Amino acid sequence: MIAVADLVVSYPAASGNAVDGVTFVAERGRLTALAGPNGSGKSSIVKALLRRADTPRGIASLDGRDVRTLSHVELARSLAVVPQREETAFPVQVRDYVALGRYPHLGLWRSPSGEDELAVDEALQHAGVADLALRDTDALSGGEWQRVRIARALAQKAPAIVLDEPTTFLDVAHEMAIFELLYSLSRSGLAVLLVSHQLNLVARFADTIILLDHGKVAIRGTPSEVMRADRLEAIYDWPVVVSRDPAVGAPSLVPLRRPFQISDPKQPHQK
Amino acid sequence: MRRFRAWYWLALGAALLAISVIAVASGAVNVPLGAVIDALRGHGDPTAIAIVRDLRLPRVVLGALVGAGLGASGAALQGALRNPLAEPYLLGVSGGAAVGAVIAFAFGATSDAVITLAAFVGGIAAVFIALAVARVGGRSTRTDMRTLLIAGVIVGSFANAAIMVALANASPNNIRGALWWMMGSAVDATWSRAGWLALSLLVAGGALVYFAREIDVLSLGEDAAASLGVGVERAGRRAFLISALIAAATVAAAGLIGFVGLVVPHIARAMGLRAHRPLILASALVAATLVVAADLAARTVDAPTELPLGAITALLGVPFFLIQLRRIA
Repeated sequence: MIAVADLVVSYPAASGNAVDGVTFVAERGRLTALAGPNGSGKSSIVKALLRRADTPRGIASLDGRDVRTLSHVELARSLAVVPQREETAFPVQVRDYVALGRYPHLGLWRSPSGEDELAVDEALQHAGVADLALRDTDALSGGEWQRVRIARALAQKAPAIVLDEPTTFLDVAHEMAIFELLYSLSRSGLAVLLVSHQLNLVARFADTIILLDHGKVAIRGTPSEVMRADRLEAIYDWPVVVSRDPAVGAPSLVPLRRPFQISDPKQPHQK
Repeated sequence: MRRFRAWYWLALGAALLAISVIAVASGAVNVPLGAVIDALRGHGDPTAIAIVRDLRLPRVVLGALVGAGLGASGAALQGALRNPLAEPYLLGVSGGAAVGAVIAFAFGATSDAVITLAAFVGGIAAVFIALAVARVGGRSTRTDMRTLLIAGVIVGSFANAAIMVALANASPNNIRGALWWMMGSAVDATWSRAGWLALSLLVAGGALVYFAREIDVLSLGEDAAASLGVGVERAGRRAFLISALIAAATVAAAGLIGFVGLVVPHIARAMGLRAHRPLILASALVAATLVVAADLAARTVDAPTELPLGAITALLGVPFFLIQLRRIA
């Protein structure tokens, strides 16, 4: 279980707090989505979970243990993360790349055991990339690369997994495939925390949505509770309607077009 | 790829051995292969024994060790900094070592041990200055690897300026010594020098091989590495320091020998190696072979004039790097 209590994240250069007193839990067996506009603090929470951000107040914990009290290896065994960006400087063979997910489980000589090899095979299978095992990472399409990165996280065999915008740049089919995979992972007992700004997709898959705005939790609840036009309009500062998708019954956000005007569309925030 | 591994290591080792034997046999006096083997065992012509054992063999061994150090250091740094253009000298090591050596020359030091030590201390000092600068730039307790790279370049430039100042005040004789050193050479090879370098390589190189897996993880980027259980800042600094230590030891032993640490890891990657443990080892072997060959060329091509070894490696390295660059682009 990933839990965040009254968490504050601040950056040395910034004036305000990137995350300002956020509290939520992502339980095992559930798909929890962290949504919100750009710059609302989603990725900062991921950084705080990895202890890569200053947290002057509050606690981020995994299964009840404050992340700041864990060793590097303990942290990696409790939480797998697929970061938003990952610049591999040099291409690696997919299987070797996924095998890096076993790093926190390696012994003193850091040589993989039979158990490690097995975990890598399982992860490749589970993420549906077993047939890519012998390819180099620079020869993958966007969708394949994202799946391979998820496979690496699965090889970690952690009870919780965080994915930061895993479907950016993917087309509809690949996007859906990734979301289905994440859903199945949650149903297999993992605590899945999905960071995404794609509300409509999130509304179809997530058990709980936590919608952030300016570093605070704006709304939380089930998709139907969160997807309300009045509140989304205030958060995104854009006129919207929420309809129910006739085919699948999930709430769906439709941003409206504004009447044509010459002035800058980014008007000051009205509150 | 995996199936070729065994013969492939054999081939790399055989290439180093072959070039070493050729290098020991050739020179102003060519010693036939049989005589080389006899001389190594202490039999035969005393002149041949002296040439092989006291002149050429220490030189070949020193060249191989310098190459191995530069190759391993370069491979580790490129991975840890995630930068294909990183090389052992980029981080202020060479500049700092040169400052140390040139200051020693300028003060009229002639003792080999003093100059070597001065270069080593200078190189290490530069690395710590670069680390300190990177911290200031990072504005927090975290050492950003990109800032570190820039800091190293800045420290290197500063060192170059300091060298100019020191040389302006040096006697012509000392200037020649300093220049020769800055162009790199294995001409002053002795067994004690080779021994010290071998010892430091064994320790530091062993550490690099041990931490190679950590470098694999580091090369994924900072957030990914942190999520896999690596203390990113500490691991990065560690890889950086060990690599710098090796580089400083090689510079102290043979001066500045450019391009080897930059180019050779790319050769090893072109051979299909990816993980850093084999990559570091293969880079060491290839670089050792390359430097022994370059040193052989340095003393035979324009004999009896000896060419600077650093210039030869650069002459060989630049075209190769251009070919690589074309292939990447």
